[in-house]
Amino acid sequence: MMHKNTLIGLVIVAMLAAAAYLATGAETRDASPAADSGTADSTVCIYPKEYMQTHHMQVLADWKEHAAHEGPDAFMKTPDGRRFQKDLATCLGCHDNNRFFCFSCHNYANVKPNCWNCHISPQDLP
Amino acid sequence: MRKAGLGLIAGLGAASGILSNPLFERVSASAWASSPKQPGRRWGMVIDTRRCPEGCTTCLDACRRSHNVPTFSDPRRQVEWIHKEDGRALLGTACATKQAIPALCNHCAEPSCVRACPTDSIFRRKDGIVAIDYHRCIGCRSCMLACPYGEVSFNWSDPRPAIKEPTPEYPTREQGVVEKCSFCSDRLKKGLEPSCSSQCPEGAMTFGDLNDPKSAVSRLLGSNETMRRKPELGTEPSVFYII
Amino acid sequence: MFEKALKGNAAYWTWITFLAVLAGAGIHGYRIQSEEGLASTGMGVGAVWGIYNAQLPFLAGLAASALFILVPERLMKRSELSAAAPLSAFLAAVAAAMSLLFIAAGLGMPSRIPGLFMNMSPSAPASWHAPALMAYLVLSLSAGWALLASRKKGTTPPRWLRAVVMLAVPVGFALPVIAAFMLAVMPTYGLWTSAMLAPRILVSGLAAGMGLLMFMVVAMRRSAGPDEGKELVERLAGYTALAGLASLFFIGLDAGTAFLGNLPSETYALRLLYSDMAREALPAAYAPFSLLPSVLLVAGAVSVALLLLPVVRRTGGMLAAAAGLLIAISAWFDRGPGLILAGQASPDGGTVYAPAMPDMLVTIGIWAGGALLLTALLKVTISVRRSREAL
Ligand code: SF4
Ligand code: SF4
Repeated sequence: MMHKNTLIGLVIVAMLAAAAYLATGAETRDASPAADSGTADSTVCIYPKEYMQTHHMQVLADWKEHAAHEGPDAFMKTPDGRRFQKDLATCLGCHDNNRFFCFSCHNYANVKPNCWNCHISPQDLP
Repeated sequence: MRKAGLGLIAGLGAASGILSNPLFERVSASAWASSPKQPGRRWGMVIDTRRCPEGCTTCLDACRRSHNVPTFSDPRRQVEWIHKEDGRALLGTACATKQAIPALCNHCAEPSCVRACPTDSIFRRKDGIVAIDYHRCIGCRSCMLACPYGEVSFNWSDPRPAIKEPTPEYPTREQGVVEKCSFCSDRLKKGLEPSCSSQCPEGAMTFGDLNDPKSAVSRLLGSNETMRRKPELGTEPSVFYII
Repeated sequence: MFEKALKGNAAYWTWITFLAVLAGAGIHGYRIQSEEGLASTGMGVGAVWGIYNAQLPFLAGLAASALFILVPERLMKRSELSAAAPLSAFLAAVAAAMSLLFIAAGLGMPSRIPGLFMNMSPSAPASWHAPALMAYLVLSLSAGWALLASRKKGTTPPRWLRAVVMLAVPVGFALPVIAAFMLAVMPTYGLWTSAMLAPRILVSGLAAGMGLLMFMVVAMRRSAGPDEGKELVERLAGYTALAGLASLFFIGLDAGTAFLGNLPSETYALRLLYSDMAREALPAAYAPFSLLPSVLLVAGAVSVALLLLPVVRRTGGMLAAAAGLLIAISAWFDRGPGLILAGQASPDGGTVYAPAMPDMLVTIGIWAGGALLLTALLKVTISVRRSREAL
């Protein structure tokens, strides 16, 4: 009896630890972005292209949090010293030459992000 | 400017005993010096009701347009960031005018809405703006009940079809979240004044930093008797009315 | 052990089917609500919270009431309460589960429910509500289950159960306090800003919990045959009567303060409840219900008076059980709809909440779901007792 309970307790502790790890994992990885060797202007993204391809969701989630809570103080500094206002408009301002920028991949991968529930999608613009 | 932090003014003045009648507040230089220090900015607004003509809705329309605020005809489903209401109803019987005057979120220094929110979705920013994180709001409507001024609205149904003149630069909200005046924090970020005060043809609304003694709002507060809504609740509104 | 809930006679299955149909209706109501938004409910500007939130204070008190059985039974070795202990733990678990469902039902953004646990803001009392309920659900369910398991095997309950009960004490007492404080942040509503709110929720919940427990024990004696439960019923009847009396006293204190101080918001809410005013304020279809608050208050008071009679307590039959049930219903209205719905009505006019179809269905559905869970747990308890008697 006692043994079984100890075992169950251990399993629960292990599960909690795993959940805590999973919940924080994404952010800890964000905090140490790969270095950006680009020039100091907005022709280069805040992180390298490859990183953004795999991690733009985490970056956007972090930006969203800061933009909503800190407003004008929400800035991001890239390792090469460029400053960006954390705002979806900052992203869309650069990627405005292709109105399918978000959508071609998302459609292909059948991903439906909820950004456009509120933000006006470039595809809805004339 | 910020480090001066000469603090507020009026409601705080009541605590330091400079006011005979707590309903009317006047700011004086000595009150600034004696009031507790509040570092940083505190955005606020002074509305001169004498200049606001009956029937004018310029500020309401500007707000609705610039922030994609939906227009629902059913009064039980209404969403508004700013509205006009009879002065007596708004400011109590000490207010002589029965004319409709604008009312919006007061961006209180002690906001009860913030104490009600279970998810920290409505919060007071460093610059005094009480903001809502629409990404996070779970739509429990606690803040609506907690706000003594009824300045929070809920999207009882999908707001998008109810937006009359959409503005693509600003997001909409979705069904199931609350919304309210943001003091145009999006425009402030770009160095612009709020839509309502910048478009008022009579110059009845003055916006600025209450903590800066040289700002236009501070000067108006110093030279006029002003009122705030329900001062007895201790929410310390940042919106003042000149009667 | 749970397989015991799957065996039963025709009456049992009829009751289960009935509850299941009601719960299904609730799911249907929720579908309508999630498609059309909360606009499909009776809520709106002026009636921001409806019948979902109206259940929460009562259920918080009901959940906390189990402590008054579990603590003496587990921590003070009062073995005469043992027969009621698993039942009261299950009652608390069901109340906590129903509270969580009612919270979820009233949200505009149900997809963000994890946010209730991930984005807590400690200075907001409402932040503690869902996490505390969740913890209490786990604690009370495991306590009830362990008690039952040891009864079945005829062993003494495991030692860790004492730790569970000790842990449940602060969580359980926090529930009525959280329920009261999350209303106290709303300064314009007189009924909600009373310091009496937390004690009133606790005491009404205690009266209701003991009343329901008494009802269940009497029902169980009738179905499982009389056993040691006789003194138990008498004891529970005593608890119910005392808690009911305290509750009535508190009602009087709050009402007295309101009318002597002529507090506008409080007197308005009380008049809305107990005078003819509701008849005009409510939509015509609901006018017949305007008498309900007074009827329930009187019924509760009469039941308390009955239980104060030693004869009724000692006989402990259907009369005592019915009185217990009535007290529970009366307490539900007092600390539920009476507090939230009347409390949020404004003296400056505006709408008084009346439920629409979806919120009505969902509320009935959640109550049916709670009853279903409780029935199943009760069935298991009865079977355990029967199998012990067969030994
Ligand atoms: S006016 Fe209402 S919503 Fe605005 S900050 Fe004050 S309490 Fe909050
Ligand atoms: S409705 Fe949204 S902002 Fe308001 S209290 Fe609830 S979660 Fe917070």
